[in-house]
Amino acid sequence: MLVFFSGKPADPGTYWNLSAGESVQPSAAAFILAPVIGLAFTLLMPLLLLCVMVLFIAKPSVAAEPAMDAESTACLSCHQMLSRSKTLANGETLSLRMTGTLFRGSVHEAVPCTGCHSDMSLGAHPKTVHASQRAFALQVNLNCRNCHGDEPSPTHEMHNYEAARANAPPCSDCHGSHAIRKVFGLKSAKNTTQYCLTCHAKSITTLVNGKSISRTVDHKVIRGSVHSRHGCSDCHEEYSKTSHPLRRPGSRREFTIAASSACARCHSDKKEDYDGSIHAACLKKGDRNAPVCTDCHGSHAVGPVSAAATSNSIACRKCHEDAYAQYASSVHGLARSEGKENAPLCISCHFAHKVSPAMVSQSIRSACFECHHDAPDRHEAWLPNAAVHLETIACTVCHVPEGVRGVYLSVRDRNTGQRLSDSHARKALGSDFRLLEQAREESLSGKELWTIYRKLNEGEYAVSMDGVLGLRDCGQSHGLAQKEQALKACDTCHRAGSDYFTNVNMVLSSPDGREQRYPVHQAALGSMYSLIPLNDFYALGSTRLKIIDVLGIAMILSAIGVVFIHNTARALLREASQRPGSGTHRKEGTP
Amino acid sequence: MKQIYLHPLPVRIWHWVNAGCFFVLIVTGLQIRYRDLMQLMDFRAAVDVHNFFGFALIINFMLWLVYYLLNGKIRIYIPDLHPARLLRSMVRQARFYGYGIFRGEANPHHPSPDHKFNPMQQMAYLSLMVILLPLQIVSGLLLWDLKGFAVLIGMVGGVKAVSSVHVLLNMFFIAFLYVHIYLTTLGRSPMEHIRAMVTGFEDAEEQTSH
Repeated sequence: MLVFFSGKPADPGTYWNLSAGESVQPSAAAFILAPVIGLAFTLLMPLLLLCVMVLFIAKPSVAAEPAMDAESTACLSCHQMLSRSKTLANGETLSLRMTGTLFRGSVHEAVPCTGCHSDMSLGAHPKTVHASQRAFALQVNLNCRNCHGDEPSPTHEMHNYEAARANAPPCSDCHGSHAIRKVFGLKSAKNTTQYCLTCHAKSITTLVNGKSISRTVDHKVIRGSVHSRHGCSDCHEEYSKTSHPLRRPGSRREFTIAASSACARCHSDKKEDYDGSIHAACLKKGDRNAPVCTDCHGSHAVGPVSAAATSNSIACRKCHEDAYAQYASSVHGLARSEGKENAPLCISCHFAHKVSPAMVSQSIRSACFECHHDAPDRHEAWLPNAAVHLETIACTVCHVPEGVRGVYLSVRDRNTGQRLSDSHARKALGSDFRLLEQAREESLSGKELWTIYRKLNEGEYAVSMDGVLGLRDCGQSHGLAQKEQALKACDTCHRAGSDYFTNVNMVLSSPDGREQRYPVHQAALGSMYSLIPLNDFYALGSTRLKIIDVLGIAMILSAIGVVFIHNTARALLREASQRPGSGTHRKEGTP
Repeated sequence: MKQIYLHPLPVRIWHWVNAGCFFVLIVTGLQIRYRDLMQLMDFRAAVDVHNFFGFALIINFMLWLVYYLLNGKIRIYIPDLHPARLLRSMVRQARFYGYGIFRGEANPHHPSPDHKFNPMQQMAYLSLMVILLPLQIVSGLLLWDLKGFAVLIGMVGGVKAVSSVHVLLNMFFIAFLYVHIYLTTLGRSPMEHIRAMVTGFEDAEEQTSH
């Protein structure tokens, strides 16, 4: 304004430096224009404000009812009524209600109703009765391709797969029907889990090997699990808001096995234990039914550790029902069913993750002693050489009275204490491995056992053959009887011909850690050839060496023979010895 | 007839305790090993009795050792250390047992308290008392506590080897005892030597029969 009044450009620096007494002289034009401008300002300001109000305030009310084409407006005139619905062929009710507000913010805001519902128009409104809501959705969704084309996306492999497959779900399953948002907006409005559930909360399936596999996730299940605070990507790390690789597992099982590998990222200690288990060994060997984490823990419904007891070995029973049935009627199972909380479950003896092969391995025995601390002392009180008995005989041999027993001669590496594997033995024995192969037809004799022992020790190994008495059928081990029923009669074992020693096996370990048994003839236990290989496996009476019996009897018979001959000779020659001059009172021998 | 006091009381007691132990140990030992062939007693009872009499035998053996070492009479077990003389006397004694006895010849050995055993007896009893019986005692002890003596058992070739030695010695003792008892009946009367081991006195050999 100062510029205007002075009629010349003013030095900006001087505006704030006018001193008192100085004045500015107005020009002539100012006298003419000032009233005109003032009047105009006064009149125009309200108009200007009105315009602003129209622009900024009135606009939303206009947007609330988007400008629609005449056709769509005509559609809504009927379809915005609340009661609009129809019954489909399968009895489902399809709501036909539609309002303009549902479109607000939709990417399809400007698309008329007939853009998607292409079979409808002002001139045509067929009264089609669709088979189901699903059939209706699938039919309408065919029109998506009118705009979005069939061209595969170079980046969205999963989307391409879903869209292209024969029984593809309707687009609306994931994108919604009328209130379709831009994908970017959809992603930013949701966290990863919510984003995943956009599709996976729905009933979606994948076809694997001709079988329809559900991919539906019940978020309530996850919320109730110990993993409730984890997002989907924490386990399914390849999947996120930006990544959804297309996995085509050969089977549902392959998917489960692959998914289970995620657990190790947090539970590495358990994974380490699992890797040493028979389950891991079976899986490694190619048994795809061998259990992985999720088989016991569940996939999304992972419960707390404390729930393991209440679940009472349900996971194990999936595969080991027979063993469980025996357990259930055993002293342990009965105690459990009576509510005794310290009664063992499967995992108490077999361990939860490092599941050991059963049989008489040391770990199983340790498991017994873990609860029965006093077992060694209690046996010591009545059983001679109790420690040796407990080392050589599996607990189950006496505590499962009806079990079928067998002798197991484990070939162990003296340096590592580990059982020699079948493949190592094959390598060390060379051509003599045929003895083991033939054992399937005809049991190994004592001499053959000795040959194997000698050959193994000639090579790179120093092996021992540790004999133990165990149950032939591991499954029977679960039927532990009440203590009072346990066998205590010594001569059940300590007697030649005891049927405990009729089933003899040499044992190597198979690749999965289980036992590889080779039948041995029972006579091998009493063979002189067993003196060295089985030098520490000896049961009084029952595994006695036959050769010792023969030698002993020979010695006794010799003595009897010598005495008999001597005495006979004396009797025959008595007459001669009593002839005159020889003396009747003679001194013969002294003892 | 002149009698000599050949077997002092401690020796007689020792002998009969030893005999009893041997008898029980042999019977129970056979019962333990041949459960399938004989059922004189319960297996467990046989083991317990065997262990008990085993220790009794050990104590008895120690008493014998201490007794003979302290009074110096261990000499009676030691054969003549002169090889030629020993050989000669052994041949003479063997000839008697194998030939002379049938012809009614007199025993070349005349027992006395300080010279009780003939050379063959000395060899037999010495090896029995110093080698075989201690070996039997040790093998028995090893079998009695397999865990406690595990290291020793391992050193001698395992429990099977120890048991084999124990059983073989047992068989030898049975054979030995059979011959021993037969020889006791070869006195002037069948019961003469046995009676002497009860009373201690034995009829002295008439000097004329030498």
